Amino acid sequence: MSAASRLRIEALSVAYGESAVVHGISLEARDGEFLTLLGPSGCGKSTILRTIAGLVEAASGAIYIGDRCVTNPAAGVRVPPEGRGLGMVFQSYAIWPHMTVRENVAYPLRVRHKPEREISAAVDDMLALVGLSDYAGRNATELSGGQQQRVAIARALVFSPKLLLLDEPLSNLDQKLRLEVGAELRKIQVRTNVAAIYVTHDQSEALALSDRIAVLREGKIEQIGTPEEIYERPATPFVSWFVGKANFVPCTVERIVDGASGRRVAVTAGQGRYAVSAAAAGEFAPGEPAMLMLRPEDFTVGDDEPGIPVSVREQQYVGERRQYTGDFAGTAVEFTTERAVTLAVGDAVALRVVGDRGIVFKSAAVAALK
Amino acid sequence: MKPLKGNSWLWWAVIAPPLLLIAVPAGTLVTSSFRDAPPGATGSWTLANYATVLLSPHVWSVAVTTFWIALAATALALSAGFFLAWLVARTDIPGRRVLSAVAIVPFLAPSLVVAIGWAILGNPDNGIINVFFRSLTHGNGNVVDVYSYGGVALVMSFPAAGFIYLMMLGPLGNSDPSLEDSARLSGASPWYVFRTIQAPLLMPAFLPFAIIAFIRAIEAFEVPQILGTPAGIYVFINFIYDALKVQTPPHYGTAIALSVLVGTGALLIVAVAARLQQTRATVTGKGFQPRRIKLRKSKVPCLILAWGYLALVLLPLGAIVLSSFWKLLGNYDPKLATLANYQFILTDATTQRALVNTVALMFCASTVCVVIGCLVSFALIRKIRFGRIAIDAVLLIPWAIPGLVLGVALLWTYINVPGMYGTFWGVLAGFITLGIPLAMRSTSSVLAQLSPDLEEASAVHGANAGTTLRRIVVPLIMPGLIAAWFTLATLFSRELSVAVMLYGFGSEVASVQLLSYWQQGEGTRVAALSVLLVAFVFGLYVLQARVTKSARVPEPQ
Repeated sequence: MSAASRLRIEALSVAYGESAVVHGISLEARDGEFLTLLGPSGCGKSTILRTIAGLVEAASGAIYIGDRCVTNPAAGVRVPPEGRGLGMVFQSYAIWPHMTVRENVAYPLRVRHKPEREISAAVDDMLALVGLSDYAGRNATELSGGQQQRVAIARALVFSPKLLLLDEPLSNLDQKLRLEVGAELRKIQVRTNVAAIYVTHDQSEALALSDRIAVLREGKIEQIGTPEEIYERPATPFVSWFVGKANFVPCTVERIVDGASGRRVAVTAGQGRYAVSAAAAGEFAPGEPAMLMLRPEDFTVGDDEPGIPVSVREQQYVGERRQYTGDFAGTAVEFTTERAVTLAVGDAVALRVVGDRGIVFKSAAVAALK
Repeated sequence: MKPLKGNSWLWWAVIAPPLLLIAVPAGTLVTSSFRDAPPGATGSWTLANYATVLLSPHVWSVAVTTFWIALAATALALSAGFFLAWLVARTDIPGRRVLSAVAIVPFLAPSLVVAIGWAILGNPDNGIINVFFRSLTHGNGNVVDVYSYGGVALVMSFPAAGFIYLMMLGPLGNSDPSLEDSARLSGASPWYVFRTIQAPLLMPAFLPFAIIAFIRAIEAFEVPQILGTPAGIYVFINFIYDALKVQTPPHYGTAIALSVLVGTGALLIVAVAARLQQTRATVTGKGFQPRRIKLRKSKVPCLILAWGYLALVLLPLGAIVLSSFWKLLGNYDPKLATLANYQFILTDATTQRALVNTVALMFCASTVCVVIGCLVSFALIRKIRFGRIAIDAVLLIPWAIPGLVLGVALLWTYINVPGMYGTFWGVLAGFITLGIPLAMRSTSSVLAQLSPDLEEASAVHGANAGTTLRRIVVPLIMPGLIAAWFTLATLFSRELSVAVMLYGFGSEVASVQLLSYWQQGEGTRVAALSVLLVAFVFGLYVLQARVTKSARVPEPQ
């Protein structure tokens, strides 16, 4: 990666009063990168974003935008929000109701005392980019949610900031519009080559849009990686559980294999024997009971070879696939099948695991999740 | 909400008495402004009263004075009230809780008492401040003279500032902070954000209250009477009072015609403000946690400004308390300290009567008003559709027109009703008339939240309208009604301008007695009685807060 660092966060901690909400996190985003902060509500993701914006004060640590330090309590650096040159899209859109669409978008340029001709041209360009050219004269409050969203994006980008902050910008849209606007947002971000820090609690948004995802839990980063890394090689039970659906199947460690591609573990679960990746954290000993994390789509149904025996408890037809919940010695196991595979409640089947999928976690780590 | 057919005559019977209580005096006032003799006396129709008023250069100069004093008082009140609300709602000013509690004092403290307190502090002869200044410099100059335009405007600004403070707390606290944050991130400085985002967004909420504050400044009686009259400063209201109560023979015609003109003007402007309030665009808040602005270096100047303004209300109250324990105003020699003032007001027959009357009037008028307010609001919300605009207009009158003008109208009506002229019952009827609009506003906002389904369910299960009201509606709205009762009680406990027109021997009230002692030069007795009155009003407020456990929705009074 030769691209310059656009945002650098070093050991950032934030506290509201007595209670710390962000605990010494470090992050970096490159020029043009789409980085998502993903986590459940209360994990501190919005606080981090607002600290980057200068709306919340840091307790310790430092934030650099480009080469410039904008936050560093120890050194007394605290650049106000208006001095940071950031674009930001708010969850509520924060469209000013007393202004037209054009006035809203023109505001950041007006503040900067740009000549009127330049403002007019830039606003026209931005409105064309977000597809709102026909709405320039409308009162901003007459627009639909999706349109207000675009106004907010246009306003955040009109002065060509190098860094764009997005605080759950899709959460107020309905499901269908969400995907559409999300894809459009990504397109605009790529075209303007702005680095974007995107906050969401929606894992499917995060997976679909991001270059990299930082999964947060209780003010700490659990894992940073590409969407593939996060989904396929989750570092902790929490990441696997929060991003996508996770089954934790009790298993026993047989032996440890240190290969070129990292540590691998051979485990038995039910009648099946599997060689799978071990979680990054924790040492395993042969004979140790552990937890094998498998996604619902990691299974196929076959009764010809040994596998994980389950009895079907619930079944649901969801269109493109069928979803089942099975019972494996008291553990609920969710799995999906082709439409064609029809199982009835009460059927006993053996589940096979596709390829080398699955990750072994320490039992205690999974237990702590519950 | 569909009006029930068949029994709507019943609801008309319910709203008729309050409508008549208001409409008859208003009609009497207007009619008698076209007569050349007081009601009851033989006379003939004339336009001479209006001609006298409109052609008098003196009245025009009073008009100019009224306008400028009201404008100055309003400007001061708006800035101070908004500033205090902003400090409390949006900043990290130290001691915010104390500040938010004390900022209500200008709203609660009776104007009459604050004006008298200032007269004690800053009169040019023996005002405490001037005496102190002279003792320092051994000269005989004055630092302050509250018997002046500035004094009148300053003291007049207090209740309006308190009102604006209370009214703006909500809109300031509820405004979506992301609207400001996004402007900051767009590169705007806090002051630029205030000018381009906050101020335009708050304007719709602010404007109606600003208009009401201005009207209340024009209608104020106590402050110009105490602080303006001694310096020959006349505004409409103390001019009318002077023409009716001081001059001999009274200039009835001029006073009545001017009352009609001022009352009509006030009614029109208040109607416009009410209209603005209905149509105002609301900036919706949805559970925002308002981000508090860090004042940093501005902390000290902000504290000085806020507490400086509040001190201007607290100082005169302090002067009142001090004076109540001394023999003479202006001479606070420890040897002259005494409890005689309290002894006097608690043993003097007239004062005792005034205190008893005040409490009795407060209880009776508040209770009757809440009952009337409930019945009328219920009738207007659910049952009566016909003639709503006219009814609303009539019910607005006592709230819109100056209290003193209302007092004149009532006096002119009761003068010919046996048992009403100068009696307790006359003052009670006057208080009820004055309180109806306030009771309506407080109760209708409570009633509007009731779902008609609840009543319909009661009707379906066999209850008639009366039972439904008693068993379903009243228990649901009780907390709101108690809050309304306290709002009215506060209004009546310090009411002066209606009472001063209607009272007679035996029906004195505390505030009238205060004014009368002041006019007799009994300054220290005034102080003792003021202490009782202020303690009573504050006690009511604390009791109300305890009972309803929530700040009531205040109304301008």
